[in-house]
Amino acid sequence: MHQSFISYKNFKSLKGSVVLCAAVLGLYVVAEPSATSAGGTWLGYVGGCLGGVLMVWLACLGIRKRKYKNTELLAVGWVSTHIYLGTALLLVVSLHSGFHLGLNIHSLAYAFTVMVILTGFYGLYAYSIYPDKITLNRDGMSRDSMFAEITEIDEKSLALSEKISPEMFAKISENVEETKIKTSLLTRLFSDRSLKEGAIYKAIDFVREQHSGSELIKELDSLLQEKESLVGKIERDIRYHFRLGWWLYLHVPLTVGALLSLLIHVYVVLFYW
Amino acid sequence: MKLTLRRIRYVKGAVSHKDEILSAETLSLGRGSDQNIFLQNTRVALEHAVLSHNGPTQISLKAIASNKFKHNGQTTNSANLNQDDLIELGGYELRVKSADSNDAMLEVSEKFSDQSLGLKQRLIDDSSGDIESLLPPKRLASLSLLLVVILAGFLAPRLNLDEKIFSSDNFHHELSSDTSFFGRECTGCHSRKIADSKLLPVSSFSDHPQFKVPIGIYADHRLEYVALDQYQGNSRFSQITFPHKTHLTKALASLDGSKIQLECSSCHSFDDAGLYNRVNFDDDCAGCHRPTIPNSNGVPLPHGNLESLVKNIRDYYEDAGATEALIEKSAFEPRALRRPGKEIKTRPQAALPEKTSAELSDAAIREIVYYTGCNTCHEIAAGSGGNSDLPMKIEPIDRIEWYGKAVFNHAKHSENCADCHEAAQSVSSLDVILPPVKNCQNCHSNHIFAVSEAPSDCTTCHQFQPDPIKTAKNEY
Repeated sequence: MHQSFISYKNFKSLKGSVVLCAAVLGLYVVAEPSATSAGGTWLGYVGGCLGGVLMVWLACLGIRKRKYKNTELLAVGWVSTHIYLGTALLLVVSLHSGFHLGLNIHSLAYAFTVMVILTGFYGLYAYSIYPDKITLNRDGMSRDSMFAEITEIDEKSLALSEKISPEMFAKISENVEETKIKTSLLTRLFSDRSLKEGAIYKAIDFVREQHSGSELIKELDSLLQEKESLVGKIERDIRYHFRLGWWLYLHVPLTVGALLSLLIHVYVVLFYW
Repeated sequence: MKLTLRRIRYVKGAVSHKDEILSAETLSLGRGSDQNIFLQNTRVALEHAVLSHNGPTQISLKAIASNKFKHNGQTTNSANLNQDDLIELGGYELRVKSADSNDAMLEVSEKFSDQSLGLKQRLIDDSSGDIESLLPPKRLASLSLLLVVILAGFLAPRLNLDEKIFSSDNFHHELSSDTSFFGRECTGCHSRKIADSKLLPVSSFSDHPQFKVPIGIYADHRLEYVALDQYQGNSRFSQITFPHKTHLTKALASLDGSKIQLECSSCHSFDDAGLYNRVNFDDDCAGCHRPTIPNSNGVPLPHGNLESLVKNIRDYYEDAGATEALIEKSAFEPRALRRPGKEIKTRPQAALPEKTSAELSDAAIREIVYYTGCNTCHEIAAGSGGNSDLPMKIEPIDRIEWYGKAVFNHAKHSENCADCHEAAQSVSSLDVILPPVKNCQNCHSNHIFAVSEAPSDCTTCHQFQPDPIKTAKNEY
């Protein structure tokens, strides 16, 4: 049975993370460090160790998701814990820093970590919205089969148009050769505006101007409309996949950056200071 | 025109071709079986275009009816062809190998042997790909960021070695840009109690200890400090007598008899860098307190050196001689006393003895030192001052350089001195009217919700100062 990574095992990971946050926050509020609320106190070391372990464990999701035979903890369980512990990490590292930030390697590690978490939040949003949209949009078809169907429609349209007139064939041929399913990067990321493929609309307009009322024209018109619908579906499919995936291009490299910064941070604190 | 038509075929990676020589005034292209150049693809019209010569060294291609083709990537219905031009028509590629109308050559190839596959691939190629086709692999991006962090970690700190944050003879304060990059801040050490040190821990300006003020010097010449809030006017430093309150709260008579109301700026001024100029007698006090030779109609005397002052007085009296004019107006005049009810009996006046100029000058010196001049601000002690034979000396003043290495610009702070300094309540020069640290913390705060943007870094106020306050005895 499908289980959402958000509500996995009756929000077990959420509950654990809330307890963790409460414990860290309680320690921060109750404990009175000897001199300052920064990483250099016993509380800072506790928070630092906890944050470091969390960061390494969270990054291990990249390894776990490639181990298909591992069934001790389902991947969905890992993802669920990844999300809630990742959110808790924001509090842990912020309190660990004591809000003492500056232009140095320690703050760089903090900045990377925060950026990783923020991109993760977007990922959480994207994964809770777009898979359903993709499924609805595709209506049981794959993108490749949609392309194949458009090809079939193009071939049928060319054959039909040849029976009508050379001019009609030329117009449909132009539509076949010029159809492009392309939108700008910004549209793919932010806009919900539908793609208006010019070549198809020109062809539809031309067909409807014929006023012949013949069955061939009607059939051609119907094929072009079907093509227009499929082109829209493919464009939305590309758009949804784009939104589902782009954040990983920040999340993953920033994770690597955060881990390296963490290493330098630990080395500097233990050996350089 | 004469045309060699070379049909290229790709079979399992191998390339083969078949040549066909065509010769006619014009050559037709299309899917129709009657066409000279037969292109068997459903995307090609039965009669699609016509190839003809356009002069002896050029051939041209014209589409029939509304048909179109692509010439070097541009959709058109006619084109003059040159060598190496590319025509795309349906799923075919026609490459012009020679445009000479007498010996033209055209290479014809089909990208896909499967027409449907070719059409589908054309559509896929002309569509937006997924993000993977747009961006480099995530691993490459990760590796790039990894390199950036490594470079930043190891190279960036070495790029600005000249930028020393602090410098001193004390090695552990020799902080350079790399230590700054690694976040080695003052509070890295000073947030804890430092062994064998009286320094109090400080982690931010919000918990900065109270300012300390020097109150004396130990036998080993170290300064003795006490926190400002524990100071009770018990400084052992010798200071002039100076009540700020007297000078600020009422109008004062100047030497010419007029009344003036003093303000802080009447005596305290600062330079362009915001550093206060030290108050000095000639510029700031002499207007009212300039000593003059008694009974001389205001002949001024120098300030700062008792021997010089004495010499001026003696020279003056020697030059003037023992004239009537120099006889002290305030000389003793016997007063006639009587009991109630009895008459005063007048007695013959004895002639006043004439005084020498030395006697007169000594009297003037005593008057100005003990009663009307120096004593206003200075302690007068018995004994000889310096190498002179004077029977008195001016007690030396301990000149304290308050926080000589502190960074503070008065010009950037409030124009109303009373906001920080309670000078109007000060009745003694032993009062320290430095404001407590809380005054500064009102604006200089590192709290995340602080309203003021005033900085609160250590270096906002501190240079490294092994011995921040220097003293020097000024002998008078």
